[in-house]
This record gives sequence, structure tokens and C-alpha cells, in this order.
Amino acid sequence: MTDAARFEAFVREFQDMVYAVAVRLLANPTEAEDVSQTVFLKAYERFAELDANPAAPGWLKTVATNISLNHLSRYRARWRFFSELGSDEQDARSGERGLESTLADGGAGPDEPLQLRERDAALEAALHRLPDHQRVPLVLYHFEDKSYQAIAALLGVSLAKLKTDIFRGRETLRRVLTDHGSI
Amino acid sequence: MAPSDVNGELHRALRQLPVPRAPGTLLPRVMAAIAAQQAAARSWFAWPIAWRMASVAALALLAAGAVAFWPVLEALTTMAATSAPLAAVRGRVQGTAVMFDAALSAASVIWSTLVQPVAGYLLVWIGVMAAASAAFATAVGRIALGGASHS
Repeated sequence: MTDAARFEAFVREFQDMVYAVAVRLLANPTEAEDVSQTVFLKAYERFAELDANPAAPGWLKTVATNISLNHLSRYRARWRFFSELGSDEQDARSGERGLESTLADGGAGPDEPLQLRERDAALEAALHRLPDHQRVPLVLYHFEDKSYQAIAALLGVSLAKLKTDIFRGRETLRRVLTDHGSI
Repeated sequence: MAPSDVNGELHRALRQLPVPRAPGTLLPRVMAAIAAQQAAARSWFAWPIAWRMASVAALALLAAGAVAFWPVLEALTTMAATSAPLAAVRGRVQGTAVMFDAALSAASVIWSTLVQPVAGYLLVWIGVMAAASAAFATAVGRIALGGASHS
């Protein structure tokens, strides 16, 4: 197998994982795809070390997380300065349409009860709608298994603020579970 | 339900969410970007500075060698011109030279009347456009090749 073919197989194996990290942190499928491309370009530079390396998934997740957070702090803040807050809702709706198509291709199989699939879709959509300062810590805690201290250090916020943001984000998601009878 | 149970239920529900699938365009984009990087890496401007200096030095040596060799070439040409067996060849060459001379004169007239008056402005314009294109290509390359962040 040539280098290009091996790298292509590498991308196929990990693209869903990398994209999932990016799209949950950014809540925007287009930006997530850009970030995912950047992650794999960096992986290509180190492919000799990453190929068939059991540490490759962890490395990819770390890089995807860092690049997504950089994207949020560097680009999202810049655009937000020039945009009205009201347009954020339009962006969220257009992003949701893209996210819905992403979720439609997701791993939920036809054997899963309809109610469970609806709950999952509602939960993912609610997570996507959360503001950045609530969604990002929740994703890092629940999906990346990072501690509160590590998340606070990564985001450069106090532990108290982090706990408040996570609490409020959980309240929103908990309502989804309640609405679907899960709790 | 106790708050810790609710949080546990939420955590389980989140962890059970299906993994969002990457779009079908991601893989082709990645491979295309890598191919573009490899093509850019082959350009002379992407060479290490030592290689570029060596290539310029090699070209300079070649030019110096050609200049040094020119008198030898002229001497050989003179010998060929005065050689009897080459008289017929010389006649054909002279005929071609006359035609070439006429073409050169015509080109000279065109140059002096049409091109020379605007040559200076043309050179400046070409330089400005080349610099602008290089700056634009660099900016686009940084954006297109994932220059969103550096980590």
C-alpha cells in the first residue's frame, strides 16, 4: 500500500471521531469540516509517527480540541463583534439544518426505538443550541472526560464560573430528558 | 431523583448519542490539500535557502562560462567562414542572416515606435501585479490550507 493510500485509510478510520469532536465544540458543521481538515493536515506531517500507533486517536482528539478552541476564540469572537446578536439565531438555525443532515447520517440504527432516536436528536440539537460558554465545557466534560480543573485551565476561566456555566447547560439538557420521559 | 442521579442519567444519555458522521467531502478535501502542499513544496521558492543560493551560484557559473567561452566560439566561426569547403554553407547562412536582419529591423521599428514609450510603465505595472498576486496567493493559501489557528 502506498503512503497516500495508507493515509487515506487513516483518514477514513478516524474522520468521524475527529469531526464529532469539532462539530460538538463548534456547533457548526462547516467550521467543523474546516477544523477537521486542519487536523488531518497536521496528522499528515507526523504520519510516520502516527501510522499504526495506538496513541493516534488520543493525539487526534487533543489536536481537534485545541484547534476548535482556537477557532472559537480567534474567529468566532471577531465575527461576533461585527454581527448583531439577533443574527446568531439565524446562524444557529442554518447551522442546525446542516447539523440535522449530519445527525441523519449518524450511527443510530433502525433497531433503536423511535422514541430513543427522537430523544437523541433533541438532545444533540439542544446541545448544539447552547451558547459557546456552556456547550464547550459540557462537551469537554461529558465527551472528552476532562476534569473541571483541566477544563478551567484550558479555557482560561475560574472554576466557579466553569461550574456555573456547566450547571446552566445541564439544566437546559435536563429539560430535554424530562420532556422525553427519560427522567 | 437526586441531582447526582440526574447528572448521571444526563451523562449516560450524552455518551450514548450517536457519533456525528463526517461529511463525504472531508476526505477528498484533505487529500486535495495534501496534493497542493506537495506541489508547492516542489517550487523553487520552497527550497531551503542553501539550495536556492547553490542554484543561483550554479546559474551564475554557467553564465560566466558562456561569456568566457564566447571568444573561442567566435574564433571557430571565423575559421569556418574562411574555409573553402564551407563556402556554400556560408552562402546559405548569409542569405538567412539577411532575412533575419530584415526581421530584426522591422522589430526594432515596432519597438521604438510602439513599445518603448510605454515599456517603463508596463514593467512597473507587471511588478505591482506580481507582488499583489503573490500576497493574495499567500493569504488564500493560509486560509485554504487551514491556517485558522496554529497549535
